[in-house]
Amino acid sequence: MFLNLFQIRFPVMAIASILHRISGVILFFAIPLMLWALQTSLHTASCYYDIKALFVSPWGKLINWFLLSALIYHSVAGIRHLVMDLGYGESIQIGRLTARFVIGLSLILIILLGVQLW
Amino acid sequence: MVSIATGFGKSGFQEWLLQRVTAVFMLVYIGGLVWLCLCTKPLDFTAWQAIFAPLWMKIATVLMVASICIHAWIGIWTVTTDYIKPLWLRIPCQCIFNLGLIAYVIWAIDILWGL
Repeated sequence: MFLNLFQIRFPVMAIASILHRISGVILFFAIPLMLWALQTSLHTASCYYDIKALFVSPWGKLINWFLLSALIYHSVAGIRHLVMDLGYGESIQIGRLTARFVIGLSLILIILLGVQLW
Repeated sequence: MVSIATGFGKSGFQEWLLQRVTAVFMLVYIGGLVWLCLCTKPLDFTAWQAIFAPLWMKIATVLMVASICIHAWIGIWTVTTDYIKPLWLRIPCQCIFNLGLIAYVIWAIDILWGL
């Protein structure tokens, strides 16, 4: 069975799909971090400002950008799923188009987020 | 029809629907929270606490975490079923993930009502 992932040519819809899965798993591991941040930020005023400082620190910005990028991609690709569930864009041509659109839009939003953070 | 012990129903329809319903709820909640944060200026500690003070917001937030957990439960179930073929390994993995997800919901309740 030929399973050399670096030599198999992937349709753009397959790439959109695996990115959706990967971003989902990333977000799963982000859940406890988000809960911890929520808990600390609501605890006392000094904790709140500690969290704020953490968010604007270099590492904080990087982690934020990484996790928010995963959220952006997963949400945009998820909306594509919802649209397809409603029956729109199920053909190969439109599916390819929406897959490209999802990846393109996510990249733009991620870059904008990066600009906003830095 | 194969009976899938780790799923809810026989057809997977409940999973399909739950994924969509929780997804829409999460999008609405996140959009609402972002809008709330952008509207409160300045977003200092008092303002931040005040956002989560009303009961409806506490309930909505717990529902949000519950939605994340249901959504992630199904997602992780899909991923583990795809990649962990041996049942003796997959079922404990799913159990651990799912216990963690339920723990998150309980943690969220504690966060919001322990204020």
